Amino acid sequence: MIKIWSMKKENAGVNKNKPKVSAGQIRVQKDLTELDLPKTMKMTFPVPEDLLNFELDISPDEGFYAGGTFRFSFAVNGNYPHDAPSVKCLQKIYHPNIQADGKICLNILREDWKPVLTLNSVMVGLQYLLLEPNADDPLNKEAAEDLRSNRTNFANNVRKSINGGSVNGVQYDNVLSK
Amino acid sequence: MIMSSGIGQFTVVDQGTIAQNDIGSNFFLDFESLGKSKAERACELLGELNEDVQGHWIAEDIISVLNENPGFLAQFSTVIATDITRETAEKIAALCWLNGHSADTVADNNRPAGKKRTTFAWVKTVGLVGAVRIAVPEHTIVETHPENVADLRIDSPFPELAEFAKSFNFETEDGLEFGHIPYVAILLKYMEEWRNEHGGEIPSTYAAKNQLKANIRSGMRSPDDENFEEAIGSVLRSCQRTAVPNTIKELFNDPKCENLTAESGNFWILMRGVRNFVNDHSKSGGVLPLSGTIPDMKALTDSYVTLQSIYKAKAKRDVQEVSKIVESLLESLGLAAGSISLQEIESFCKYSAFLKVIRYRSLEEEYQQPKSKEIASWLSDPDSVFPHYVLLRASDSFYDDHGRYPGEGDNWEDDVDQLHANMTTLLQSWGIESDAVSKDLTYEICRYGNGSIHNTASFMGGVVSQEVIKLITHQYTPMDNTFIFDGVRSVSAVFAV
Amino acid sequence: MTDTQAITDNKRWAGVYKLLDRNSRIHPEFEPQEEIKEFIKSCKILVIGAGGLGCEILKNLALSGFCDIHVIDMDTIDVSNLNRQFLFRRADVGKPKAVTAAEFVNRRVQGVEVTPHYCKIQDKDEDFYSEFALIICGLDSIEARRWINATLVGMRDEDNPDSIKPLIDGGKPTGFPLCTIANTPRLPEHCIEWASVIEWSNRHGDRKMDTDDPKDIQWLYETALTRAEQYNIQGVTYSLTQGVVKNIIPAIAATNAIVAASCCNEALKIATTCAKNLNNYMMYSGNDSVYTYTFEHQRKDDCPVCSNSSTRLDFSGDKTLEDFMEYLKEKPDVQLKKPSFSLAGKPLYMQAPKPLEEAMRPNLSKTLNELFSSGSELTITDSTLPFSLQTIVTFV
Repeated sequence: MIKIWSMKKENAGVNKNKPKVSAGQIRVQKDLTELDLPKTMKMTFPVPEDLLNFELDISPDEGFYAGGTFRFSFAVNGNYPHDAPSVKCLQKIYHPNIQADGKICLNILREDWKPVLTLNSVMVGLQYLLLEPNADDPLNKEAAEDLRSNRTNFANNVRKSINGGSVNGVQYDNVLSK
Repeated sequence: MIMSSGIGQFTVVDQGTIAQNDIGSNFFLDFESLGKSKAERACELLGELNEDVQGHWIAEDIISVLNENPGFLAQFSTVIATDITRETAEKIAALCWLNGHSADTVADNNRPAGKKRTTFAWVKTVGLVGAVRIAVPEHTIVETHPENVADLRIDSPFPELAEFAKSFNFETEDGLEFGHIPYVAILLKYMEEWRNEHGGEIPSTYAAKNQLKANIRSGMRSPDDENFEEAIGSVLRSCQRTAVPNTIKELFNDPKCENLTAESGNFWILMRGVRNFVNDHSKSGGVLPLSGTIPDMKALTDSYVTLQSIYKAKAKRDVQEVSKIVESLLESLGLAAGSISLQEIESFCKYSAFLKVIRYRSLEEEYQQPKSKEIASWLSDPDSVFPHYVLLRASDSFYDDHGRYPGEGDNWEDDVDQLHANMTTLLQSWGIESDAVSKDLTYEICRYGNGSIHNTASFMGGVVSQEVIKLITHQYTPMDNTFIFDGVRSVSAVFAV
Repeated sequence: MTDTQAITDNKRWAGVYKLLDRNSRIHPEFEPQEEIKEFIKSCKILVIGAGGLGCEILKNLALSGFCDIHVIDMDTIDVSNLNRQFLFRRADVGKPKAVTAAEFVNRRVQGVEVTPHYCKIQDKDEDFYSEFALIICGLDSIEARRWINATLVGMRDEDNPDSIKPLIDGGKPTGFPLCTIANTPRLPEHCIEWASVIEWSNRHGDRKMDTDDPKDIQWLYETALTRAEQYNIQGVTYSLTQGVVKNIIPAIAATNAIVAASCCNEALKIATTCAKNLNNYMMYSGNDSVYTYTFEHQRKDDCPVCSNSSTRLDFSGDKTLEDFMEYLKEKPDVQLKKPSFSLAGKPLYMQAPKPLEEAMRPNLSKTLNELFSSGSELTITDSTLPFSLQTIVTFV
């Protein structure tokens, strides 16, 4: 007797008794355990059972932003790794590629995201953004202009901003490392 | 798909009226069509597809049409026959074949009616199996769309090219400039040095070619010099002496090239023109006109464009030369000057290394002079689809005997032995053992019962349209001459039966 | 549609029904049964994409006897579609492709019901896809094909054969859709195609482009560059222009018909088991003669999509998670180094990063009984595994 699929048309749906694990969750689990975090990065999990939402602190030890500790939130959806994780900066900082509301302009978070990339790639990308801000792709246009026109002046502005000072009339969060 | 490929007119000839199984397998018939003429309704519904195509229909049996007007087929460039018996096919094929002995290139399609050649295409589908047979005496192709038409002449640079190579300063201090010397110039430099050291010869042995590669590698300043890597990657190809390919030499010696007449097609006049060009230059190597195409390579835009222009200019000079020869040929044949356009000459020269002529076997030859040796070898491969060709031929014999196809009736299993007997006879006529085709396959053909499966029809329709478009446009290489598809295993192959 | 000339399926589908009513000696596993005919009439089949390939697929399925067909497509009809996508007419321009294609087939083929879904495939959830017995993909976009593939594999449930959805994926290498070139260029290549496909004939009439003539390439390059500047697109260069125009893939007219017919041939074989199905890849090329090649694409052992095979393990529920972990490290066919465990997306123990490891460490000394019930499926990842191990643990 050959086997044809069951003919019941109604209720052809997947048996829902068993909670299914999405491919995204499995990938996150694997990505997380294989992270290779440098000493400048630290992760925190507000809810340890929830692997899909966590935070990352980056404390660069060189570059314009050395001395500050920058906190980012990660939210990974069920479609990961087809969708990039959604990453935001939780503080208001002075940076050409980071907007006051936390939005980040990083190619691999948007147009250049590929499923073969991992959470580690994103973290490395963020660290790089703090080491090498990029004036060509600005979200904060004034900061980008400052960077382009006078790097010394830009460095001073960064110093001021991470101490909680104002730059161009905008007050930034104090993010000095404790 | 043939409707959307730029054809101008089509004519449907079918005496039948529309039955339910026609609607079930033909998307261009709807249920309102029941009982109407197949030819008329198909023409009408097809017409909706493309307003620019003019459709005609004749609700008559093709044989009676031909009896009334034996010249009927001469008005068509192509006849596609489906659902016809072998007897009818042979008759149509023979008439098309008669029309096929003229008209060799696209331009000839503009000749007056009656001078047109008619290509014959016969499609069969039975259940999950399909076959297409193409027959036309001669098909010539200029634009075969080869992958690579580059013809760089590294072994025999023409003066402008040699001069270009010398214009590069390999001692330059500028790293950017050095890293962008086009690889053609690199190859030419090292090849020239090689020849100076080897009595004018280019490397011929594998070891010599490797030595040339090593010489080039030693000139690199850094492993990042991609242009040098490109040059090294092209050494093997560039060490092949530029020469007229054997396939083209054969065409030069073809009687049609040898004996031009006022009736000769453009293709053969051009072939003769190129042959004369090659002979005129026999002292300097006797090579084909330059294609004028160069591949992409690492280079600064300026020097790339310069190099491109050098090849292009030489190709143009070659075309002008061929063009002069062609004009004098036309004159000697009593044909009008300029009757072969410059554009046609240009493309003939550009693809002159890739020209193709296909001479099909006629249906008559297939039936009267079977290629027994080849057939035996096609059948010896256990995975071959050739058994289906044999079975379709045996089904034709079955039809001759019974006036119907195997498996059409309800007692379909009763036909297995008879079809198998037909096949055995056929195989024996080729001197092949009767067990060369499994009886399980005979059984499978009877199972199909000459039934029409839309997917098979659509697949075969796609294939035949594609081939017909290639034949009409003289672009790409059409298959020669029978395509067999087995939808059970989803495999296919082409056999020149 | 009632009519005195009622169409009977036995006559209409005579060719297909012969296959279904008669046994085969080359495929002896097949047993003809009336239910099979009912099945193809009642089973739900989904076509993804209503473009050139999708139109052909819909037509073929309707004429193969499938009566409950769904089609999903997010696009509307553009003038440039009219040539190849034969279910659309000039008056349909601007309408959703899925809706128009469904209406056409419903009108043409009596008794067939095509249901359109005018949306993105990502807008539908697993519940939607789980309703179908078979899914045929007629998409050009590699991303979308990948997405649907991963989604279907993710829906697979070892205990429920209905959750296994055969996917038949038809595709072709294409140039860019003309509508993209004309209206929404995004890539430098789009601008170059625009220059060569649309602007060339506007400016130069019938003169044939010579892709070896630097003057023609230069003209294309400049024209493409101007367009790129309008749309703020970077990256149009001379050499890219040259590469694009020389590689323009001729729109080989019949490819859609051939690929679609092959897909639907497989669909019919899978749905009815009337013949063996393709294992598992067939390609067609029509440049030089007619060439098809059929072979078995091997499953990649570390395929990130389908390698999550489920295994079963028996273990004492009274032992601790740490005992279980040690067992997995020593088990010869597994030999994990630093496994991490989760259950239904919730972590049980993670080797890293540090804060997670610390938070989860107490679980290591708990017994399996305390952590989950017998028969649960754990997701185990480890640096030695290319992806993950789905393991159903039964307590003994």
